[in-house]
Amino acid sequence: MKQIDAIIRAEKEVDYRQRDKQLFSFYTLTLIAQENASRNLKKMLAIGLCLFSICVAFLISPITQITSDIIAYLSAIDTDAILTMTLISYAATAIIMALFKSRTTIFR
Amino acid sequence: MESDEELIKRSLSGGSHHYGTLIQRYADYLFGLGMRLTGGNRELAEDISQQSFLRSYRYLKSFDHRQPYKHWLTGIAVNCFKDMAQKERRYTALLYDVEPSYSPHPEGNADFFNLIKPLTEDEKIIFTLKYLYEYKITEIADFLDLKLGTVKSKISRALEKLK
Repeated sequence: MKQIDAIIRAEKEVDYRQRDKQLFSFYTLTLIAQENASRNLKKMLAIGLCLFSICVAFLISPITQITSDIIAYLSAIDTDAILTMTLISYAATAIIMALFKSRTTIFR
Repeated sequence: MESDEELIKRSLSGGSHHYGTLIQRYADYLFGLGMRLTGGNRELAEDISQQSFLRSYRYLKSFDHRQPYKHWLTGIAVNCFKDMAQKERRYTALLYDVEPSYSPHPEGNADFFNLIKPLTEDEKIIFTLKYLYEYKITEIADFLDLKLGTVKSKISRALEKLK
């Protein structure tokens, strides 16, 4: 036991010192800053992801509504009626054009 | 000279650069503790002190001002040592499979390192903190999150081993 006491007493007198305290402090602070920066970045990314998913959720619901409305509208269209309307409108345009042409020749 | 509490408050409000003073204040203390616990392994001792400061900064908000910062830091360092020893054990186990010549390079008082060599990690911590740093058993129990009775029995077991 006396020997143990002597070793402990001798060990108490040993003064351990860091090699370069300033460099150690600087390096530790750099690591802290790095850790802080990565934590902030993760936080920002998480917030960004949340905002993005909220925006997507908001956008997706009207888009599906709009697309389903368009599909419903397109499926309800009568193609025969469209064709006849197109023919009529083309015919009317041709008649009007012909009338305008004959008018210009009259005025000359 | 600014007190530890003031520096902690400043570090929390004004950024990490105020923490540098605290690091410089306790760098040698933690390094010494690391050296004693690791049996004079300078690299490991430096790692332990650095990890302790990093952890301490990470949890600085939760620091209880009723206890001295040095005690809190000691508790962190002791737990860092336990974590590191666990990792080191895994690491050396791996190394022994491939390269059996691995050995640390001890520096400091060899008598003391040889004395505590047969002790387990917990026993080393308890013995060092009690007989070298003269911490109370209640404080050591607090650092290691152990019951008072467990600490006492570990001390007597350590002393028996050393006899």
